[in-house]
Amino acid sequence: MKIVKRIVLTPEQKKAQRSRNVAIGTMLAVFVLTFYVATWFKFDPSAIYDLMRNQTK
Amino acid sequence: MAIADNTKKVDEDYVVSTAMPRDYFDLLKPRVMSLVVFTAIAGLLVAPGSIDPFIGIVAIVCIAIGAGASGALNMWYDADIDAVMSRTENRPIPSGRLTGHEALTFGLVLSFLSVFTIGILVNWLSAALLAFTIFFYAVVYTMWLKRSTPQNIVIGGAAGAFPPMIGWAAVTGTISPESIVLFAIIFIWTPPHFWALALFKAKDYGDVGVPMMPNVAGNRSTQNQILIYSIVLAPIAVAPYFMGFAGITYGVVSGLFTAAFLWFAFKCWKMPSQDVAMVPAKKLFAFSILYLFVLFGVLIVQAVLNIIFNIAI
Repeated sequence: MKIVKRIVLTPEQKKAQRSRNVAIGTMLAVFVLTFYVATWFKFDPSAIYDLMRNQTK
Repeated sequence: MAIADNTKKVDEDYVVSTAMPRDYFDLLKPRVMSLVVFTAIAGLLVAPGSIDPFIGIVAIVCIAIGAGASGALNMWYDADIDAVMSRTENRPIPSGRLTGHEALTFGLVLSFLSVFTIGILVNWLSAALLAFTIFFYAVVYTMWLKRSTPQNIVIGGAAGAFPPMIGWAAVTGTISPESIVLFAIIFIWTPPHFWALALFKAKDYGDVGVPMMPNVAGNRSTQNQILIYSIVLAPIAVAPYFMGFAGITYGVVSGLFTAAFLWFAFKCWKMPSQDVAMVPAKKLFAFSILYLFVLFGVLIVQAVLNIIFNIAI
């Protein structure tokens, strides 16, 4: 059986790792959202207004 | 001071970083980035034509991130000399908060992200200019010129001068004489700005072997060149008014501030070259920052008033 060595992080390392994870996650979400909204604005700005108009009908 | 190791060795195979997001943010050189953002906004707002506000914001963010990326690559390459100079010894790599490898990866990822994002969402001319800016700062200036010639900041200054041109290109998709003038203002402003700093930080640069002008040509020659560049800057600084893409307010303010800039440059030139306190050089350095801020600030205010209220000042 293969023995897997596990890394035990110190509290300081855990805190830093968690902060980095949150920052990376947030930045990726902003990046995706930016592309999503910018695609609307750039390629078909009227789509947003059409969508809003249809929803209010 | 030696470069500290920020990683905690867990065993022979693994190292775990203790770097915080703040350390990565510091890699972006936030103060330099704020000047880049400011001048890029000016270029974007002064440019003729219109851009969707959201796309405009995306363009500015991409320019800011691209500038930050080149700052990270600069810190990666210069970590050895940053550790020795008092002005830079607390940067993330020499202080041990980040490894050079982390900074290099971060800088490269942000470079590609910013260039491709502005290319896809704005236009490919601004992407090409941004890519060139990053390359120019990281490779031409940092890796080549900085340690090899006292003309380092003269040529390398081009990297800091591109942002308004990128902002302009984001709106118009072109490079025009007006955007070249905005480029030229920062390009010609850079030597007196940096050489004023180099005069009173000459020892720091000398200690690490960076050939700044005062160490190579001497203080007197540097003072002469500061004055010459300041004189050359004067007509370029007021050119936006005479070319018709800035109003009378810009003409008056730029004229007054350029006269003050020349006065500080003259005082710096008059300073004895062996002066210990270097007060005139420090004053010129401080004023040069205010000068650029005011010039581009007036351009922004004029453009905003014109766009929102249709008021020409």
